[in-house]
Amino acid sequence: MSNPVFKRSFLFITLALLLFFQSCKEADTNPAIQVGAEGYFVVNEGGFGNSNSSISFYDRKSNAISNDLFAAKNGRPLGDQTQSMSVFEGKGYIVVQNSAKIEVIKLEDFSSVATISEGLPSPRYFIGISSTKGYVSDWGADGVTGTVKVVDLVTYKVLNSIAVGKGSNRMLKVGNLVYVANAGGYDNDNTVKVIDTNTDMIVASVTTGDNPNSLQKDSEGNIWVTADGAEAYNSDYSINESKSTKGSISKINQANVEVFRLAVDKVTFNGPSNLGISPSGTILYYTYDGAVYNMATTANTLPTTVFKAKNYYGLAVDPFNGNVIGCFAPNFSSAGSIDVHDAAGNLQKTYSVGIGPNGCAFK
Amino acid sequence: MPILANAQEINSVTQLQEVVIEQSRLGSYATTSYTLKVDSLTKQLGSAASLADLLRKHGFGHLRFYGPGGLATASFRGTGSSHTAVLWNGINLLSPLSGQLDLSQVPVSFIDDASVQTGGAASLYGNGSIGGTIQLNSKARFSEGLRLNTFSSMGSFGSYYQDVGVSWSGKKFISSTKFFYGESENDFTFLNKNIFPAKKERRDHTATQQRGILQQNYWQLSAPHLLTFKFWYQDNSYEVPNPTSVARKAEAIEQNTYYRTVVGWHFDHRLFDLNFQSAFVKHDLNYEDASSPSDPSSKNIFNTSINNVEMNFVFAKNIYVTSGLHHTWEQGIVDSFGDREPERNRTALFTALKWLPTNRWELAGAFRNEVVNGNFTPFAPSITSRFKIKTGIELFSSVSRNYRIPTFNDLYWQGAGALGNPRLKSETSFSHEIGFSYSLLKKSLSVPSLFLKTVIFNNDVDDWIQWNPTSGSIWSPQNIKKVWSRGIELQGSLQASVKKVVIEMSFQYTFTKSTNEAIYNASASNELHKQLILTPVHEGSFTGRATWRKYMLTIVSAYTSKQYTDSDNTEFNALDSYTVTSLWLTKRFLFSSYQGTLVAELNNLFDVTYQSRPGYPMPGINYKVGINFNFVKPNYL
Repeated sequence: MSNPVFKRSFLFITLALLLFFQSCKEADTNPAIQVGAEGYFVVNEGGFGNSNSSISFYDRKSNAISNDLFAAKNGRPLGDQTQSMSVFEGKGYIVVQNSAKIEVIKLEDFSSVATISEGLPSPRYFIGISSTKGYVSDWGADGVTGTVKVVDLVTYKVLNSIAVGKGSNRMLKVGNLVYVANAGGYDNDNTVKVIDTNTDMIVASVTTGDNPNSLQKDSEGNIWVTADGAEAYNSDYSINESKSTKGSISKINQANVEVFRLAVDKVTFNGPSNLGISPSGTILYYTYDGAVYNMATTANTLPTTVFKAKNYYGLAVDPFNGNVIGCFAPNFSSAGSIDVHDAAGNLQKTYSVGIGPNGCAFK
Repeated sequence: MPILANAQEINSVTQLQEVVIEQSRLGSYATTSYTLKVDSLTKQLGSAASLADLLRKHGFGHLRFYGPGGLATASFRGTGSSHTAVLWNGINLLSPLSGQLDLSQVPVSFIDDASVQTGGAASLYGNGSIGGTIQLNSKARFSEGLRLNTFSSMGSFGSYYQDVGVSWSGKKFISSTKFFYGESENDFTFLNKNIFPAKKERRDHTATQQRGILQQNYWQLSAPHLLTFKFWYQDNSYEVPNPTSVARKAEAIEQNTYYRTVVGWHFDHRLFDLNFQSAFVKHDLNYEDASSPSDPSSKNIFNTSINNVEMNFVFAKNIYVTSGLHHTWEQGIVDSFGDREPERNRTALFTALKWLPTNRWELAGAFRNEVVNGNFTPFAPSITSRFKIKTGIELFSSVSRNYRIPTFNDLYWQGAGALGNPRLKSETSFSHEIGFSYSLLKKSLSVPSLFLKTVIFNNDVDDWIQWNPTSGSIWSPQNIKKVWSRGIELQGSLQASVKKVVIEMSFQYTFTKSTNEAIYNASASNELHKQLILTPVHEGSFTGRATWRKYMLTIVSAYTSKQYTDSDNTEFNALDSYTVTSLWLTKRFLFSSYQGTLVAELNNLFDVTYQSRPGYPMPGINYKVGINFNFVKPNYL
């Protein structure tokens, strides 16, 4: 044991080990989250299969964005694939589809109020009906048994389930009616169902283009619906043009009758989607084939020129000033950004947000 | 992992005959690389495990694990999961579909000799060897008589394992048959932080079942002619769990069946030898997911036929040359390729020369050039040099260029929302390394032996392939990135005896910076200069082993630093660092005609909670006990 080489190397190894095994834990800083009085939330969907979705907040007053609010406040991840967030009566309802839950938070500081995880196998969107009732569209565990779940906003329990069609997606409340777009889920559908919020019963079904995904009400009370179209494949997975249908935009009048349907020029994997409308209710915005388009609600043909030639993953129109917010997801493994444009299409500012931004919720 | 030959190995009764040399000698043209060898004692400790488990528990570089029973791949020197070639007796086992081999489906008991060689110095190994190579070899000796070997083990989470090996080794003929069966429920408990409030849950839908048979024959026809035959059949049935962030119940089942056949003819002359190998490899992967009604099952088959000819010459006493031709035909039969059944013919020519200008200096140059369906892949040359400064101190360096051709999935995938890209180029890498080693090897155990080796490496990988969403949300692969990885590798070992106790200590450590240096579609500039995901900067392990009479105690502590899970290195989404310690105690029994070894294993001794991939927890403290019997009838020729 007196060999100097042995001694030296023993010392070396011990030193080396000390260096390797010292743990480098960062101090957990938990800054007080203060969400501004006016602004909007950005939903960052995250990478599918990863628990890295998040919520950002844009504050109008300071013109600044803060990221990762939920995790920073509550010290736990938001979950896997956050599909949407809705603001209703002072609370935020964050719908996390792959984690099969809704996180309910207080809007002012983002602290958790409740987690609704029973009876929501694959939730997509939330809409508030009354101070005691909300609706949640849900794809069902198999992705084809779409329903609207009726949630008690006092106990945060699912009370009832209304079968609506496949891939129930975005909803729109007009008076005591809720319009549900059935986007197909893992199959195809071509209906918008209308639910009476007093009885929770379906009172009408409107046939649209295949796989309607989003809807808006214009200033005259018409409902506009964007639809993906249905992509059919040949056995070699090339697109079967004759069996496929093109994406479309439908106009539905107050009598729940489809007035017209405008089909896009070609079959695409995603048709027109992310329908938004200007505060005046007269200009529609949507994404299609790697660009943003806009059209007047008086038009009866689709626009041929693009509003913004950028491939946005999500789109929102600010109801306060008519700004058009493009949510850009370069991939689903690093932060995306939002581009804020004025109504004329001038880019005002770009903000870095979380992974996979897909839309906004306005306060 | 002890790097030195172990005392017990030296004394072992098995050192009677020279090992039959039948595998490729390419390794001797890249000896300067950083190599980690799985010694026979470590191998014995991992007898009832997969190669992935063994490499992970003993700290052999970076293993990416989707939890127990999940996909496991290696990543060396900050490269990706498909950048490590896995060669079984010289045959590349990587799937042409995915570019990977699941190391959790390689049983340790079927491999006699395993080593990990990092870096691209061995550009001779061809496709995929950008980060390193894992070499799995068989070893055989003539005139050993009849042997029967069994290993039985059971452990936590419903794991059982049994293998049986019978071999007969005569003067001219060897026949060896091995069989194994293993199963595990893997239903360990973990703290699920994805639900609120966090609670302990049992991992669900993670059971695995594996079985396989390996037949090997060697026939020394006449003095220079050796014929070999190998057949490896294996099937595995896996329940595929969801990541813990997914609330839906997992229902997917993956069925893998492998067929691997190699025949070889080896002609050994005094001044040259000639090796011919012909292999057929088939992998049939069937994926069934009842929870996905639109796509309930998918079939993924590949067929590979490999034909290699290799010649080794001794030109002069100090000049050695190897040259050969490798031909690979591969075919993919995959549901998501539609009606297409892509095939490709790959022909590679290689030559290497080793020159020893003085008895202290060794220089080797090699090149490999491959033609894939008539198109040249990037030319892959390498130069290595080794210089002995004085006894025990060596300086070495190498420069090489390596490549990886796009996989069939990258090229031909066609499905809803995802589309392969037939215009993909090969990835290329350009790497340099320099290092030195110091060894003080003593024959007698009364004087301590010491070994130290360090390497500094630099590797640029260009045209890195990555799947990204393109216009209209369709995912497609692109040659999108340039990655710069650089770092330091360090290994050392010390062996000494204190009275009757033989003590071995070894460590290995890697420092790896691997960053995105260019992103060609310019859309994600926030990823520039950031560490690649799931690539820890620091990784190290320490192994201590004490042998006293028939007892041996081994302790291994392996450290992995923080890993980012998103490409712009968000701290919140990063995986925490972890140190996992395991302990083995073995006792040998010696009788006249057989010996036995009792192995008791305690894993994750300190019950550390950790994940090596997000959403895939690893088990806490768990145990395994096993017993090995080895019957030998040496006179039974």
